[in-house]
Amino acid sequence: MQRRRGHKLKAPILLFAITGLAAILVAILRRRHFWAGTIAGIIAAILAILIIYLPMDTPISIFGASLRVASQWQILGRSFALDINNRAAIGYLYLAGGFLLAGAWIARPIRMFFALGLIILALIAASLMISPFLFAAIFLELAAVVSLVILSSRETGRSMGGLRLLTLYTFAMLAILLVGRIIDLGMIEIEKLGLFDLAFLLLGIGFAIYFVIPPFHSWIPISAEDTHPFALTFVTVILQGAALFLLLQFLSNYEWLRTKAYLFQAIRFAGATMAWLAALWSATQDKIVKSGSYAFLSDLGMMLIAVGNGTAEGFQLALGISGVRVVVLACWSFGMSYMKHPVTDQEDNLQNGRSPVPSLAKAAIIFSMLSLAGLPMTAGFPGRWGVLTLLTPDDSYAWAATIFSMAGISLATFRCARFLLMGIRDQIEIKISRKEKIYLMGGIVLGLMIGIFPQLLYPWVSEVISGLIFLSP
Amino acid sequence: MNWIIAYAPLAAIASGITAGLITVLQRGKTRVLLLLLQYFCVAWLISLALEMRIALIKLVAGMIVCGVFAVTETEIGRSPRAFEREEQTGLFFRMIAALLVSTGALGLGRASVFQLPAISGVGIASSMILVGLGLLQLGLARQPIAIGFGLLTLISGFEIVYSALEPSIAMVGLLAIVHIGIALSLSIVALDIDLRCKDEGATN
Repeated sequence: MQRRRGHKLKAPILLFAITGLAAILVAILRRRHFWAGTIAGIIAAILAILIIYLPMDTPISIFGASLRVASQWQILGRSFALDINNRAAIGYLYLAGGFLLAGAWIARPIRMFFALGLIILALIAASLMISPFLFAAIFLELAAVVSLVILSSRETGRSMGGLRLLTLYTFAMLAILLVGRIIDLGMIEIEKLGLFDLAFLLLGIGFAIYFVIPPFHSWIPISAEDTHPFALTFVTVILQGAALFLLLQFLSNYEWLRTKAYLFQAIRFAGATMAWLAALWSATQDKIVKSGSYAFLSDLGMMLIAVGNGTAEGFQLALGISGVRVVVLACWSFGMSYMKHPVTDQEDNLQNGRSPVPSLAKAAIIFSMLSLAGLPMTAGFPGRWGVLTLLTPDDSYAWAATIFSMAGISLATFRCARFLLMGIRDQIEIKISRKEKIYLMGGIVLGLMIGIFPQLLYPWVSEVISGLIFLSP
Repeated sequence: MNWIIAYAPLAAIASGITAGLITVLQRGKTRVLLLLLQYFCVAWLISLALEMRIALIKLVAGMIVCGVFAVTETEIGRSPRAFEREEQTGLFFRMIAALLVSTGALGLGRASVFQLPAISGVGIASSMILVGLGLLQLGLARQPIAIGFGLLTLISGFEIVYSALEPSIAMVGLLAIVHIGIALSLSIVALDIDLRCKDEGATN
């Protein structure tokens, strides 16, 4: 019998170990924002590429040495598996996280932001790798625990957003764990005991919390006021991305769930309601930062409408909207970080007329709000157009909600632009470095390119669900 | 280990009393001692469904949590301009609320939908009381540490029932990590706020 030669490594352990070491390194470099952010971003990007492209469970040769990377790691009767179902999803989240971490140095978040951000990425990866995947709720809870530290403010009474996030995610964890137990009983027992409705209710509560469907959205506008905008952007993008993949895994693994017609109707209804309601709130806010946070909620609602379509095209479109949101929110938070600059130290009250924020930052804020509105030539337009084309004539509610959302956020953008652009002319603007200008300009240009050439992003993002065979076309 | 089963009602009563007292007393290190006692009782009740050595994981996690909170409370208490704990509700209100919630939870626990064969009546009663009082603590809390007490009480109550439904060491271990993580993160937030208060006090 031939002995298998070569070193055997386990991919999940490698992923956790490298991410952990990177977190320690950037924690040491925490006072040097630029280097910490750049190293965190580069390592996350490299890991994303390895996750997606590294051959697993087959021997590979590196500099003459034979190496075999196993996709599974068994521990305490459970396993972490980096397989075809989740590789692309985890790679996508690492890439999104790396993109945000690399640019975060401009925004000057808290010093431990980069290290904690990497830890959150590892926890989200664990949530997508764990089997049985219902344990994912525990890893999402741990991600919320770390997110609390990122979102917390030093001021008394101004950490309520993060505390509320942790509380809500705890409720969601308990609900999802109970659903797991119900599902383990088996279909026959569930039908005999009449537990279908209870399972749906618990699943609905859990995912409503994860997708910040009102009334579980309150932590976002509270955090928008109290927290650094970039910290909030990172937490929301990564946590909602993980929630989307968890939902798709549920739909892929449980036929009884995806064959329920009213499930997708409920998701569509919830998404549509969220879209128009959040747009209304966005248009009526007095502060730019809260207006932007509600615009983000409306965009989430659009994503849910796409998921609620129940088709492979809908799931792919939802992923595309989610991917575009990373760029748009990064752009928004770059600009917003200058609103909270120590020199300005001003309330971004839309009743005020003063705004010494740099012009490029103003452009970034306005462009990102326009993208969230989904206006033509902005990054958000392909997603909105895609949703409108997917909707059938029967979906008049979702169709009207989409149009209302675009109009509402456009109005919010107009109010924000009026405040930002009609400042006192002889006001001295904050000086920004060339590197900062490059990043701000780069965000706007990238958004424009995605808006004009959506084929740069959407087909690639759609490949992410190719591993979920029951959801693929 | 018949004595574990025989004296389990005592543990259930003690867990309810400790959770009630934590709700009523909104400050001080006494709460930390009560939380430690609560963890002891919860570990006892979990051992009705799991092996003792697995239930001890819960107790060890509880001791770590209480240690973290004790250090935090000590640090916060040292600052010249101490962490402001505004009493939003009176002592009498909290006592009545705790009694009402406990009574309601006990009554709810006797409903037929909660009578599961895998779980003893004592476990269900204790679980319902802890979940109810945990929610009450969350509703009344404004400060990070107080919110932490509420979350940990809630999760502990859930675990008493869940450990009977999912008797695995991995689950107990992961939930223990969640407990410790919650304690650490909330302590960091509380100490950060306290540091800010100290800085402002020094400036003024």
